Amino acid sequence: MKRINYSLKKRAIIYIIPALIYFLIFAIYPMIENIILTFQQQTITGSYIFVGLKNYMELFKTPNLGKIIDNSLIYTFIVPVIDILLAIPLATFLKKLNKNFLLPMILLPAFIPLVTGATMWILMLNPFYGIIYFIYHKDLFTTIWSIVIIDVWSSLPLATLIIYAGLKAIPKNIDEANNIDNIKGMRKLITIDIPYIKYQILAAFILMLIYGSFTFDPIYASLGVSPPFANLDLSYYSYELFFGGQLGFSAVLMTIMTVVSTVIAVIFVKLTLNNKMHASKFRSIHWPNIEMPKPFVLFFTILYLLFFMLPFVWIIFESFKTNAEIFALPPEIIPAKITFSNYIYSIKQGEPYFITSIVVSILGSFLALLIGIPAAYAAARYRVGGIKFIGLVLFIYSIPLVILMIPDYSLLNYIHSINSWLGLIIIYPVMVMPIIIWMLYNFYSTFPKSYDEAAQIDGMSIFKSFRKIILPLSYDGIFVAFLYAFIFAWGALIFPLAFTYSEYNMSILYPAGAQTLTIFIGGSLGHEAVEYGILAASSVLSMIPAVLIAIFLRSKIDKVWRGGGIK
Amino acid sequence: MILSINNIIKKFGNFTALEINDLELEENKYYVVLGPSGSGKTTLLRIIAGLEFPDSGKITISGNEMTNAPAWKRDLGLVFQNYALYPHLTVYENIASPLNVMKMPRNEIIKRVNELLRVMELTDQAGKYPAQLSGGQQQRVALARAVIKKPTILLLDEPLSNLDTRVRIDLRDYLKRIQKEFKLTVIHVTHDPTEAMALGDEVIVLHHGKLIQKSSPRELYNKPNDIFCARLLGAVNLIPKNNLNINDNMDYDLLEIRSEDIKFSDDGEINGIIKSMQFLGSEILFNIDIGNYNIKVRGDKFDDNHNEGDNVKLSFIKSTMNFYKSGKRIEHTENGKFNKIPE
Ligand SMILES: Nc1ncnc2c1ncn2[C@@H]1O[C@H](COP(=O)(O)OP(=O)(O)O)[C@@H](O)[C@H]1O
Ligand SMILES: [Mg+2]
Repeated sequence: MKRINYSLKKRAIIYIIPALIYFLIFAIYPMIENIILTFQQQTITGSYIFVGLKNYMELFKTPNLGKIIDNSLIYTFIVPVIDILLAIPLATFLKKLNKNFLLPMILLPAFIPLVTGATMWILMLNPFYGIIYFIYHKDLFTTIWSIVIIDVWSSLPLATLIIYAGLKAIPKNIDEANNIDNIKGMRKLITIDIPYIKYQILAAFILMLIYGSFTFDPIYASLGVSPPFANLDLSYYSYELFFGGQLGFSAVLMTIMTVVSTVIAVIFVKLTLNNKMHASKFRSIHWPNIEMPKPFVLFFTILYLLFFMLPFVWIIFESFKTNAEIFALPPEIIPAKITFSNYIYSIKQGEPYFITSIVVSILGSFLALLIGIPAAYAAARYRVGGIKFIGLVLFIYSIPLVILMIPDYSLLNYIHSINSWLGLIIIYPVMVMPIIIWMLYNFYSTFPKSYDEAAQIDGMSIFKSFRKIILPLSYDGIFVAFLYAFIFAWGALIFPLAFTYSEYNMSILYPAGAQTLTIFIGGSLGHEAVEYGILAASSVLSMIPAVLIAIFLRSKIDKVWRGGGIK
Repeated sequence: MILSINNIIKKFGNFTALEINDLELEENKYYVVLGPSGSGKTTLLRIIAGLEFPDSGKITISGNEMTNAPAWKRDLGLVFQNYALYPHLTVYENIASPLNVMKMPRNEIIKRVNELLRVMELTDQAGKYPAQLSGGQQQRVALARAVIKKPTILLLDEPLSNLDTRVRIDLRDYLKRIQKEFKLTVIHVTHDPTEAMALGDEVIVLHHGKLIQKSSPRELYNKPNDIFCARLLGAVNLIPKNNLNINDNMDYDLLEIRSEDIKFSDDGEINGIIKSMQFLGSEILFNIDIGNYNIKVRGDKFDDNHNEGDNVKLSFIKSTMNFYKSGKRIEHTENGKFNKIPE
């Protein structure tokens, strides 16, 4: 290891201390607190008493636990396998077609709030009013496969993007050498390309594992339309227990999830931080050496696009229909007469939720930037905290937020910030700061050292040089990081669910209540008098930031996401 | 002494990039650090600048111990190999940056920057951004930014190597003029021996991270410390001992004589055959076989008496000869005496 000047490094430590303290309080301490909680129970007076292993015994008394664990396992392993199997061909097609406008289209499902995505599928797959009526009359939401479809639909974009970035990074001369050796098609994919991007495939797989294993949002959204326990997993069940006040048992489940996710996260961190390649074993088999004809490539790509885009098309149609059209049997596909009344009602009813989501997402992301930028810079430029700090960041990035719920609730309660904008703003960086730090860490790692050095020579201390030279030169990278953070925050569900209970009271002087748009959308299907048109309109409105950002980022997407990703 | 370096060692991993026992520089002189790529020149400069810190040893600048002081406490100017101009600031703002940091009064800054813009012939470019400038102009902006605060020492890292030959020769004079005008101590790093000889009041030769010679260009040329230094500039003949029978009773391995110190002469002591010749414009370089060894001889450009295949007699200017033992030059008293004239 290179010895870095100690005085500089010591100075730069100040930059990561806020991030470190933040993570310790809101992410690391809760995991430990959970373990303590597993041995405790809350009394009627609110105090905690030691109960030994009583909470653990609950595991054996819960009749549906077997079903819940089965569901969790299906989400954990089936989703990533389907993702990878679908992502590799799609990434190959994308590289072959080389059309830039395809990427943002494919990424849209990952950018919109997951609750919105789930709602779209639920409306589309409704056996009477959805487009599925024309194909299949059974209700898919009685099974967990609906959740699997939604999970795949929303996570496949990221898996594809990671693999696509890997394929794009294969050096030109390898492709050219293969041309000369006449290796092509399936044979090239399996013997040359896949071994070359093995790391990306593995990283995508692990990330999808994390994604699937703690499925939450689609379960929440489909609660009103599916039978009890049909699709519940550990993640959602522990939230229900928390909600019902069974903190001790909830903490047991969360501790189990912490252990599982830590194992996965450690693999993910190791993989991300040492990106090494190994030789391949697939060479000996004779794979078909034929290039897939262009019309086939086009055909399959269009199939993929249909899968990604159909829910959007359907929900947009729905949002412009009158109630009569929505409940027509057989369903009307295209609205006969476009009505805007759904949008008007959506904005009227949803106003407090929209306002909360905008305020909280912007300020929460901003807070994360404030703490995250200096940390990312110090870690990249001065190696402060070394690989340990970045490992910690990636670790927090890959743990499920559900497990932080109980202790973080107590923390926010302690500072009287439950059910308030402030509370969400304070807690959102747990969710968005890891991605900000990771993205900017990569950004600053490739940033020329010489600007900072020139500034030092000009007489600026490292703090001054950061403010005067480095920050102005990194607005681009920071802005992109902010957009990603915003997308996360905008789609957040678990934290608002856990830490708020009423909508914003529309008071400027005494604001209270902080339920977000995601709750407004995700919670509506549970109601008896659900207004599908308004729900559709709200869903469309909730996608606007994602659409804008996808268009804005279209040229940068595959660069920014390389190595990183989105939950 | 404006700068002294004692027993500096700098390692990258197990690799020792720099190891300098003793280097003392005086004020108001133009020093050139010369060495091939990878010899540790940049490392030396960065250690002086405070951008890199030695594993052991001591650096003193103007009498103050500065070994572990950060760059911003050292009051130095540095022109980076890639210039490192701030892309988001104009030429004017780039040059003014060090003064702004010093919190100098505004009109004083304007006065100084404008004056320097004039000296550097950049007045018309003041409002432009670095990306809009040519390489030579960027180079001058970087130079202006480095000298504006009148630094104790001005450090230049290969300041001319990214430029076209024509611009390079112009800027060479320019650098020297700036040094004289601002009475600066300059440490200029280069891998180009011609540049080193042309510019340096003193040349410091680095090889494999070690200081081999620190002397005036003349001395470096005439009395190189070792074979490496001898080979740096111009055509040199290094002849193994037993080929010429000169100073046979001296203990040496190689004899060195510059190609211009060998003349065609009818009463020359050495016989040879011209193997080949190159017309170089200002001179002709002959390749002459003197038995079992080929040597290079520099001839007058008007010389048309000597052609390939001719038998010639050569005389050596013996006072310029140097002798080497195990690569190092050794002092000698005998001034080149032939013991036996070869056939
Ligand atoms: N930051 C570094 N890490 C590892 N090795 C380095 C580093 N900087 C320089 N070196 C090595 O030290 C040696 C000297 O480098 P340098 O001072 O840049 O040489 P020069 O400027 O003379 O070309 C080279 O072999 C180089 O590879
Ligand atoms: Mg160098």
